[in-house]
Amino acid sequence: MGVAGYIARRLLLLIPVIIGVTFITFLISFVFTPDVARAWAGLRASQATLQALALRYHLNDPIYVQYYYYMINLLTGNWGTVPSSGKPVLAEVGLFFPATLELALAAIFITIIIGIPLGVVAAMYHGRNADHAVRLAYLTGYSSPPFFVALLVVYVFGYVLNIFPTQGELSSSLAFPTRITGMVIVDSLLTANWSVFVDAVWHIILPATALALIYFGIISRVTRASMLEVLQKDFIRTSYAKGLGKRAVIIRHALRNALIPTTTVLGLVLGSMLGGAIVIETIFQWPGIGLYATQSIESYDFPAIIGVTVLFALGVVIANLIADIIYAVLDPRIKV
Amino acid sequence: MSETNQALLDVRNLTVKYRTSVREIRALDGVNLQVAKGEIVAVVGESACGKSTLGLSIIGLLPRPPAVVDSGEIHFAGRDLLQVREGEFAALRGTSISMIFQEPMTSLDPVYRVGDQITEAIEVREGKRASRPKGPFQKTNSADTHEMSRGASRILGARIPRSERKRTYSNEAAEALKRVQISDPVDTLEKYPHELSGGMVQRVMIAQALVERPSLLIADEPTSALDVTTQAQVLNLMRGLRDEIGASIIFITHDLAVASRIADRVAVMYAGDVVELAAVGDLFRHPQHPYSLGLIDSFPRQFKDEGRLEAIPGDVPDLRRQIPGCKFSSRCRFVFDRCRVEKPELVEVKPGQKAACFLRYPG
Amino acid sequence: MNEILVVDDLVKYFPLRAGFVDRLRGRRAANIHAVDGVTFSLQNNETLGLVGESGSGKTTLGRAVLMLDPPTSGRITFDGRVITELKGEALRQTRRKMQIVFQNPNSSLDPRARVKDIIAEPLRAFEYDKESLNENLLRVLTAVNLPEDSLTKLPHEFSGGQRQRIAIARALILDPKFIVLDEPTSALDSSIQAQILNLLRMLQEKMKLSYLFITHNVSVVKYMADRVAVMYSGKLVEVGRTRDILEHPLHPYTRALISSVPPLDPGVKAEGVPLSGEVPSAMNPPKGCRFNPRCPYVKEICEREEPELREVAQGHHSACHFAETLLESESPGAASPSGTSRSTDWRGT
Repeated sequence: MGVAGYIARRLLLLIPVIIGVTFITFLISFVFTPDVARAWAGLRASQATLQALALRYHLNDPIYVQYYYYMINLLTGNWGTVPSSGKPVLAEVGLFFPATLELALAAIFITIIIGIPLGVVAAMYHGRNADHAVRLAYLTGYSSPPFFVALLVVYVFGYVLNIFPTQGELSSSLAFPTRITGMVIVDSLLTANWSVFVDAVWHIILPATALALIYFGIISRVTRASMLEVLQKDFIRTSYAKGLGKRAVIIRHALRNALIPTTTVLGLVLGSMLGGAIVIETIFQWPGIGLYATQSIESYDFPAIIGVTVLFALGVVIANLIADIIYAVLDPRIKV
Repeated sequence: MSETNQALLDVRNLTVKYRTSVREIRALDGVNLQVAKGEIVAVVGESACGKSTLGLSIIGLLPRPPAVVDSGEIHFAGRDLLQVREGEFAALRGTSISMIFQEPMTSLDPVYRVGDQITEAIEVREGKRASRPKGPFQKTNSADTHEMSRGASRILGARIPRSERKRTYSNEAAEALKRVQISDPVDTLEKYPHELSGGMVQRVMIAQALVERPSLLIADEPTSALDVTTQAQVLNLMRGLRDEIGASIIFITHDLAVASRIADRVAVMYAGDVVELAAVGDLFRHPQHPYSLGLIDSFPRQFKDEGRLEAIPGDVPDLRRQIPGCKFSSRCRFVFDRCRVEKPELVEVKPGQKAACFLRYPG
Repeated sequence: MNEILVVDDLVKYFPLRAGFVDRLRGRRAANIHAVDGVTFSLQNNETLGLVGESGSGKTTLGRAVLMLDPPTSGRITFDGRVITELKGEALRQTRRKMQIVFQNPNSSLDPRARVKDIIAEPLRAFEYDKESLNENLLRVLTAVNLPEDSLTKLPHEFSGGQRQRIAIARALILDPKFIVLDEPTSALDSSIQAQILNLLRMLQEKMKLSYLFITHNVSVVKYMADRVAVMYSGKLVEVGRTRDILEHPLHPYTRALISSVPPLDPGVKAEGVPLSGEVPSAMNPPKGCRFNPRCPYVKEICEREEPELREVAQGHHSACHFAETLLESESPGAASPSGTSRSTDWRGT
């Protein structure tokens, strides 16, 4: 069956995972909350509103009935209504999510172009100065609190050197492009709106770099360890014996094999980035769900918070799935 | 076989040590060996005798560190290989000197198809470094619509389009697989290494050598991990390699019987020294060195009721210590005083047969 | 009754998990037919050599005989008792008299345990007399030619050959009657191999042991075994006295196996054409005779009907439809590995 069967199997396994995750969010949002009706209706809701909500969400019914309606609602996109704005949760979340996705993808891209080469260099010169330098670099990045890294980046590149803008997705003078995917860079590219495109790219560089600086260390470390292991293998020796030059052996054979575990970790990192960009988004005023989550917490917007939570959870699960699939595609030894 | 100045390979006084922070092991202790064109020389010895180190030294694949070449010269094609820098050495490997190893299951890259790896060998031979391959999982696609037509490219003198080159190489790879007696060559090209058996992978390695046509092939225990029936097939194929492309083969093995089956000459090694060098028939009919004799005697050839094997007593020496005199003296049944003090040289003791033993010194 | 071990139609299958999509299609889980109906016996104080290549099932058979991997079906009678019917404590008690020595002396000894504890461990598993422990340890150490001070050392302080001696000492401490030797010298250098083989023979004489000697090396089995059983793809294809098997093989596989073994004397011409093809899949063995895809004499019946292991000559069994034809065509002294006994002109000058 090969890859197709493997993917099918993984997709089927996704179902129990999602059931598990949503069950937990159900427990949090409907069972463990003290005053469920008020939480969902908002702190200032009137008695009438509360009762109407209790009926609508079947809050007086047994738990398993509530769970049933919960799942139905979740699957049909009815994630509740945000008390402060009156808008559906899913719609609001949907408004903010693409920005986070864009940021995470850009950050992953930067992580790859910094992290992997550094990992390769560290492996090839392991034990020597280059290796130690790389380790110093990524430990610094990883152990610094995200807000510190972000603020430092803002200070150096935005303020002192004044190269990159530090707030938002676009300069205030420009209009947003036609909304196709919700991701500004992608949309401006699709509509050939070049001035917006350039401006958007310019804006994403600092927050994406700040995010990447935190995570590139993990990728470097995994790449280094993986390369070191692969370089010991017999087939590397046979590749040299065949007459291949060092570059061909390192890139075509060693790296190709070493990237297999690295890709899995990249998937996990992406999942982490989707959920963990809160600080970065707040500092850079990036209109993603991190920022939305902060705002919702500040205004006690329970439905919104739960909506974000569910989204984060799904994002991590799907990122893991993609990592698994890529692994199967890259490694022909994986069978069903 | 007398040594001539036209020896393809001339190893002189090679000393290689493995040096770590705590100890130093003398893996090769002044080894001399010549290999003529088209000759199959077996290097026979037990573990830690240095035979693998010898092979790796010749092809320049010693793990350095911890290996250190202390002294010696390796003359090949008019140059001393030990003076050749790594960048230039790559030009020699594959097409002048090649090596196959013991463990077939780990010899091929697991993420590329067999066909792609043989094609890679062809590309090396053609002196081209292939640009990044289309991707390891795509079949070679001759329907590249963006390539110029063959006629046009000939007229304009442009390079033959890559797709056609790939097709030619694929055909050659399939031919090579056929010559090593793989039953479905075209199917096998599409397979991944983990889908093949050990015997088949070794045959793929020989096919790679066929394609690159080296003048010297070093085979480090290529059949030790194979079944006896598969081993017989592979040995025949390797002899065919010599017959077909005139390659010289250095066949490293611990198995005397395998050596006798394939070699023209045999070098017997013990603890980093070559202790005997002889034509294969001479070695087995009248071994000159007590170790060679002991090895032959310890080979079980008789039935249970036909008497006992003469085993060599004791163990292989600890190479961390500097051993005075002849390294075999502690286990030798013919030992006398001189052996423990002085190290015997490898000298000619019968016409065409050399041994490093005072017992046999002429006169 | 002089038979210490009787194995009757032993079968050992390993179930394979069915792939997900296979299960959707309703296909049942496949089995690996490691040992597929093996019958033989071992006489007291005899060595039966079990010869086969990779995928033959010989190691699985060796382990099954000791009930280490209990058989899927079949009967094993050891020293008069049917051990396949035993469980728990009763089975454990029979283990005192049957032991095993494994192939790799590096992995069969606990690297963290002292030799003393390694050898004493089997003894400690049963009731033993603490007073005589040391005496017992010294007894087996002497038997395998290891010095007394070995007891306090760790395995890594010994060479490969010495470690194998430790493993043999461990197998001897309970004073067994039967030892399965699973490729005991394959991981050792040839000179050490000779020492260990001699040791094993000496121990067999002195202690009246019976051996099941598993190996892929035909020369070793020639030197060690009284009788030989040849195994291919989970089945026995030929059983008989060593001389008969090696000098007059009555099965095409045995013939091919013997002719593939390089003789030590380079003057002896290579016999026959080497075997082509590959060992069959253990999951889907060929129909009829399992050797038929590679057999140079294959006929139509071979693809249809699986041959039984039957007595073709006195004490000589073969599982080939045409064993009698092979018997008639045998010329004396044909297909013997490595020449016969040592000839005097091999001595040095």
